[in-house]
Amino acid sequence: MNLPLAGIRVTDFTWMGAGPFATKPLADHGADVIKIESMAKPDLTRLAPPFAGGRPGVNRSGYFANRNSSKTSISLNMKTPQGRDLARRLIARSDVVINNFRPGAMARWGLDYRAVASLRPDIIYVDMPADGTEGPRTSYGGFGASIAALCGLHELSGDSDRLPVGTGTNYPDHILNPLHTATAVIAALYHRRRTGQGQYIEVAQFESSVNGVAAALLAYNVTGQAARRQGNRDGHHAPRAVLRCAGPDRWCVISVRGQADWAALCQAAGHPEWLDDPRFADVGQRLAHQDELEAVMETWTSGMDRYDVMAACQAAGVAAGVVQTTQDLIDRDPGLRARHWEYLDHPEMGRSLYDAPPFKLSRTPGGLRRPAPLLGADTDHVLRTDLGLSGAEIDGYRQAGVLA
Amino acid sequence: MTTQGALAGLRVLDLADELGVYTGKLLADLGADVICVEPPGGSPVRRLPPFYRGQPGAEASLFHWWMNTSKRSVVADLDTGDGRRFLHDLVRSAQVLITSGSPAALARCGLTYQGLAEVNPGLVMTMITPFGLDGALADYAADDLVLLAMGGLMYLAGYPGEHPTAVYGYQSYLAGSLFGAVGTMIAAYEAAESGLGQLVDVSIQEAVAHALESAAQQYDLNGVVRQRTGANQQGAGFGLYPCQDGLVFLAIGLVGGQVEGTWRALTNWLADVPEAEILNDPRWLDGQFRGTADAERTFYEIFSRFTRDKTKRELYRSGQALGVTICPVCTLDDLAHDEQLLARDFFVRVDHPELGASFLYPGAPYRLQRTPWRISHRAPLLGEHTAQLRDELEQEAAR
Repeated sequence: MNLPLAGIRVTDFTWMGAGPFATKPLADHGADVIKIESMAKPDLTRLAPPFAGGRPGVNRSGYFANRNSSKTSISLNMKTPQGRDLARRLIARSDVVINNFRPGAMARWGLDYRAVASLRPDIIYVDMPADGTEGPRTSYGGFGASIAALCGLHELSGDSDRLPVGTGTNYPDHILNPLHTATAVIAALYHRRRTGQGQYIEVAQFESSVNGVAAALLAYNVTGQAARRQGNRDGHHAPRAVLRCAGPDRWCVISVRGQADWAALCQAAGHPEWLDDPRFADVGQRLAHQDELEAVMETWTSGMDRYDVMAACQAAGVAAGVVQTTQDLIDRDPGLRARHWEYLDHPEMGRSLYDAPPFKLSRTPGGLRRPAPLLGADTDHVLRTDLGLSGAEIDGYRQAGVLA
Repeated sequence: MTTQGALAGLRVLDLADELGVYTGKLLADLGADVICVEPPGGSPVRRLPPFYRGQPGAEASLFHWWMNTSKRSVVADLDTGDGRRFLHDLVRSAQVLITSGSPAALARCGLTYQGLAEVNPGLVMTMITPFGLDGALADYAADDLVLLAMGGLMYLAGYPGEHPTAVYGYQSYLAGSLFGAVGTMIAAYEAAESGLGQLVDVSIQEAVAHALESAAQQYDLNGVVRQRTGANQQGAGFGLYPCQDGLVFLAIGLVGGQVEGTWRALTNWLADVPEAEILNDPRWLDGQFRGTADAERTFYEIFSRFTRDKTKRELYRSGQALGVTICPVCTLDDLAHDEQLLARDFFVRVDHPELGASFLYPGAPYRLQRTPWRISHRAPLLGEHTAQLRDELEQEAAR
C-alpha cells in the first residue's frame, strides 16, 4: 500500500531533540528521511541514556531510537569537500532539507538556502534556530529546557507561592517545536504540489514556543493583567485538583466543571453531606475554600486505589484520571497498549519500545516502518542506489575519510 | 502585494471545541478558508476566560480571540433539518472537517465519518478526542488536567516528595491539536492527489504520552520509573538560580553529556567570583560528581553570589556572549518587551473594527518566506458569515 508521503525525500541534518521529532512523523508516513550523520560527530542523543541493557553505545540509546524510527542514516564527513559534494548531490534529489544547527553552520558548508535553491529550485528548506536567523540574539544557543524558560512556560507552571517547576522535561522539543515545524513542512509541500514552488522556512524555536503560551500573552497585551501560576487550579472551577490516593506517591485528579458535576461527585464519593456544607455550596464558595475542599476530598481519596477513584468519578460522569507513571502507561493502560506503544526489533537493542504516531489515518495509515538506523548503516546503499556510485568509488571515498 | 497562504484553496470546516480548536487556527493562519460551524449559542470556546474588559459574552473570550483568528463563522443548529442540510452543503464544498470532544457527543450531533463521507467521499475528517475513537476509555470525561495526568506528563512535573503539577496553558489540547494539524495536512496532501478522503483519529492522551522525553524508554530498557525533579538543580549547573529581578535558567550538561566546552566558558565567566576557582577542578566535568548534594550546594552558593545583584537580561547577554547556555525565566511582561521578538516584528496588530480598537497579537510560530503566515482578520463574531456562506454555496451550486 502507498503511504501518504511516499516519494518525498528529506535530507535531514537535524539532531538532538526538536529536529528529529519533526521529521519522525514524515518518516512514519512514508517520506524517505535520510539522516546525515558522521562517525566522528553523531547525533548527540545517540550518546544519551537510557541505553539498552544499561550499556552505552552509539546504537543503543532509547532517547535516540524513539526519535528516529523509519529513517535511514548515512555517514558523511562534512569537513571534507567530497563529503559536502555528496551532500549536495543528495540534496539535488531531495524535496526537503532541514537542520536545527546554530545560524551559519549550513552556510559554512555552502549549504545555505540560496546555495541549495540553485541546486534544486523547488526545494523546501527549513532552518530551526533557537532564537532566529536574524535579530540581536542570532548567535545565542538554546535547547528544550532553556527554551521552556525563555518562552514563559516554565514561569507559569507550578504552585503559586513557590518556585516554578515547568514540565520536568525538555517539553518544547517534544511537542511545540517539532510539530509546528512538521505542520509548516507539509503545508509547504501542499503549496508546492499546487504551484510547483518551493520555499524557505524559518522556525525560530523561541517564537514557536511562545505560541504555546500565546493565549495568555494576548490576554496580557489586551488587559494588562498577567496570568500567574496556580498549581493545578484554574481559578474558575473547583475542585480542580490533584488528590492523594492509597499507596506511595499515588495520585488522582478530579475536575468538576459545574454544580451538577459537584452533586454527582458527592454522591459518587458516598458523601452527600458535602453538598450541604455552606463552604462548598456553589462554585464561588468552593473557590474561596479550595484548601479545605481539597482536604475534605482527600479524606475520601487517600484511602482508595487511584484507579477506583477514577472509575467512581467517571461512572458519575465527572472528569477524573489517574496521575499515571510511565510504568502505568506501559503496563496497565489498555488504550495505550492497543493504540500507542509498539515494540520493534532493533539489531543491537533487541525488542524495544517506541511511540507510534498519536494520529491514525484510516485509509493510508502510517506507522513505524523500521527501528532507528544504526549509525551510518545506509551509507553504501544510499550512495549506490541514489547517487549511482560504484563499489570502487565508495571504497575510494571511504579510504579518503569522506565517509568517516 | 497580496500573497496567498500556503493553504489557499483548502476549505476547512471547524467544529472543534477547546480540545481541538488550535488545529483550525494553524490552518487558517496558513491561508486555508476555515469556517467555524457553531451552534446557535456559540462554540464552547467562546466561554473560556479571560474576557475582554472582564465581561463574559459571546465575543469577549480572549481565548476565542486567539484560537479563531483568520476563521469565518456560521451558525448551524444541527438539531434541525435546516441546520443539518446547511452543514451537508458546507461539507460538499470542503476538503477538511475537524471535530473534537468526546466521541459519543460527536455522534449524537451526527458527526461521524461514515455519515459525512457519504456526503463527500473526498472529505478528510479529523476527530480529536481525549482517548481516541476506539480506546478503552473512549467515553471517559476529560479535560486538560485529566489528560496531562493520564498521558503521564503530570507525574514528571511538580514537587518531589509532594504533589505533581500540571503544566500551564492547556498543553494537552495544544499537543492534540498539533498532531491533529500534522495528521490533517498529511491526509489533505494525499487527497489532493488521490481525490479520496479519510478519517484522521487523534488521541490527545497519546499526544501527551509523546512528550515524556525518554521516560517510556527508560522504563522499557532499564526498568526505571522516572520521577519528578521539581525546582531543584538537576546537578550543579542545571536549573534555576535567583537574580536581581527574578530567575535565570542555566543549562550546563546537555543531552549527550558533552560539557567540557560549556563548563570552561562558565568558569571563565565566573573568574572574578570569590571561591569560583574551585570550579576549575576537572572533577566538575563529571556528571556524577555534579549530581552530588555537595557539588550542588557548593555550585549554588558560588553561582548565586554572582547572579544575585545582576538582572536577567544582563546575565543572558554576558553569559551567552561567552557561550554559556543561560536564559531568563521570562514572565509574560518580559515577553511583551523581549528585544528579539520586537526586533523581528513578532507581534502583529489586529483590528477589531466593531470595538474601534486594535491589539497586539503574538505572531507566527513559523515563517514561510513565499507564503507567509498571516492573521487575515480577527476571530469572527458569532455567525458573522452565515449569510455570506449561504450565498457562496448557492452561487457554487448554480455554476
